[in-house]
Amino acid sequence: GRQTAEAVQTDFVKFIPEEFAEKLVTFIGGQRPGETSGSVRISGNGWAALGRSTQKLFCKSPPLHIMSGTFQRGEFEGKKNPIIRCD
Amino acid sequence: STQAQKAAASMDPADQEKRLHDLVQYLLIMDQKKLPIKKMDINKHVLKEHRGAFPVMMKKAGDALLQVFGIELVALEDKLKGTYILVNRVDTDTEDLGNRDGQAGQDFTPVEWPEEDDAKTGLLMVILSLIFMNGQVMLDSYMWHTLKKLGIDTDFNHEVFGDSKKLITQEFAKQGYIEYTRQQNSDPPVYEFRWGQRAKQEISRKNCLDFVSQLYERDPEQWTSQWQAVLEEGEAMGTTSQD
Amino acid sequence: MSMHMRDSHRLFLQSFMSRGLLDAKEVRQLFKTVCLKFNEPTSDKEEDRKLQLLEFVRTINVNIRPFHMEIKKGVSEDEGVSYYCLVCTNESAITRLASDYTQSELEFFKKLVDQIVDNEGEIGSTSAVNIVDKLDKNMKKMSRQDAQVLLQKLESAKWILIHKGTGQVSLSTRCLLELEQYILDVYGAEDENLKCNMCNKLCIKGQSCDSCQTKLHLHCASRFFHNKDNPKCPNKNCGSPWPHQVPKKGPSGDTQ
Ligand SMILES: [Zn+2]
Ligand SMILES: [Zn+2]
Repeated sequence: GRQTAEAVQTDFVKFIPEEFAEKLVTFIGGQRPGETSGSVRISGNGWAALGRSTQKLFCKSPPLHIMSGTFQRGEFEGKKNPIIRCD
Repeated sequence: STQAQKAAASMDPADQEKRLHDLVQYLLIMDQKKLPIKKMDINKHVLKEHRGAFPVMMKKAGDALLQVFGIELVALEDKLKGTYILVNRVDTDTEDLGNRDGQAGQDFTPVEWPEEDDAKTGLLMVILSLIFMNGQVMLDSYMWHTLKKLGIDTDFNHEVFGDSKKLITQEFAKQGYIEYTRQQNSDPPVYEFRWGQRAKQEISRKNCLDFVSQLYERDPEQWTSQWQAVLEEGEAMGTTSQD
Repeated sequence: MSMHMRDSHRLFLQSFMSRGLLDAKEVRQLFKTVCLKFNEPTSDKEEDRKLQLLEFVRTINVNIRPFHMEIKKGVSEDEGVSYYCLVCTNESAITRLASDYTQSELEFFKKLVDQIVDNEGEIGSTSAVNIVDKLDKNMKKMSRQDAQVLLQKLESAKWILIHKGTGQVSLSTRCLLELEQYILDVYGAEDENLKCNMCNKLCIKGQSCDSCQTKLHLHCASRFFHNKDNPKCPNKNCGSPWPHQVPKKGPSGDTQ
């Protein structure tokens, strides 16, 4: 009856991290052992491309980047009467 | 609290407005490194002698950030109580617009991130997916073992991430993306990876499961325990769809 | 007319926060994208769309001004092209808490600005890198490689321009817009003319009259002297023949 059906449903697919890694390497287009000497290699472009495609899954706020006022006006050699602002 | 309200009411209105403006600018600037912002620092740099009005000022700042920038000010809890992060509440995804408009060449992404940021996001997505799919916790040994299969070996300098162990266990942890905690009484020490509070705010279990499912070309419902976790998340949010 | 922010404004603003600088075409694309995404109608007529965009940006500026921010329009000193930038409009104890760059990196940058202003708007890459030798001994030491990396970072963040061919380093339009007040205050002494006679904005790279110091942006000179047979100094008390070749009017880019 219903109990048998539920038993069949349990953990239909099991997650295996190594398998996940395999599929990722294929997806990103990295190099595998055997294709070249050495281990798996995913380039900077590969990682960045993966990141670009998944940025939309994150609710990240874009930080504010400024230059004005990030440093003290300070001392200046040879300049006449600079205005040193204090706030 | 009425104490805070009294403190706020005792402020000169012009001064209060100036501090509010400074507070908003402060929070946006402090968001640069994505480290949780401390109440202590807010009081030290912005509120100063008016720190008694902290809750009132933070509420006003939160309202302003949401109203003007679409950014939510979130108070963290437990071990991170007393710190705050900024979370985006504007839907910035415009990938599907090309279809709607009919015109080709919609290649303008409004919000762009530096390349270094993109690479780190890629790594973070992988780590958070591994943790979630593994039952929301993963032992450090298993994590390092799996990352090796992606070309990341923490014993060596990585061409993209440099000191990858430092990036993962310090930077990502300090930012609140992951929780890297030592198992009690473990000797030699064993660590566990979990989603951090920032990850819980910024990404949903659903998005994670969808990402993995697409990779495997499977339906998300086929992952029964993970799908169950997604349903629980939906219930907790009081809605089943992301809106 | 409501000055209330909607999601379309917020996404537009966030785009500026992440990019720092957009050219006229990108601004139009962005406006179109956000209106499409949030189902806000835009006019079919280009002129009306322009007005809509102006109003749109005005709304954002009214809302962000209290937080010492503004979307400003600037013109590049090299090509006379219009750019739009989100700039910070103040200097305070809070702005000094910014952490994109370390103390020594900012010290380097300050000296870089110093040299660029001193050299009519650009210096060579080698001179730029050699600034590490001029840093305060108390500051954390920077190697030449550190300087190279920093220059790249500044370029990616759109604060400086590095010419692909010559390697000449100059300040970007974004930088000039945001640091205009700083530069005028620090370098705008009596005998150094740093303002363009025509548009009255900061001018580092341009043409100067030999007799009287009057300075013009290349694009302002090209507009002012357009079709004039004997170009003369615009300063009425001077009137000397203009000693430079008048720059040709470049591709119009965009008006406004
Ligand atoms: Zn001019
Ligand atoms: Zn003259």
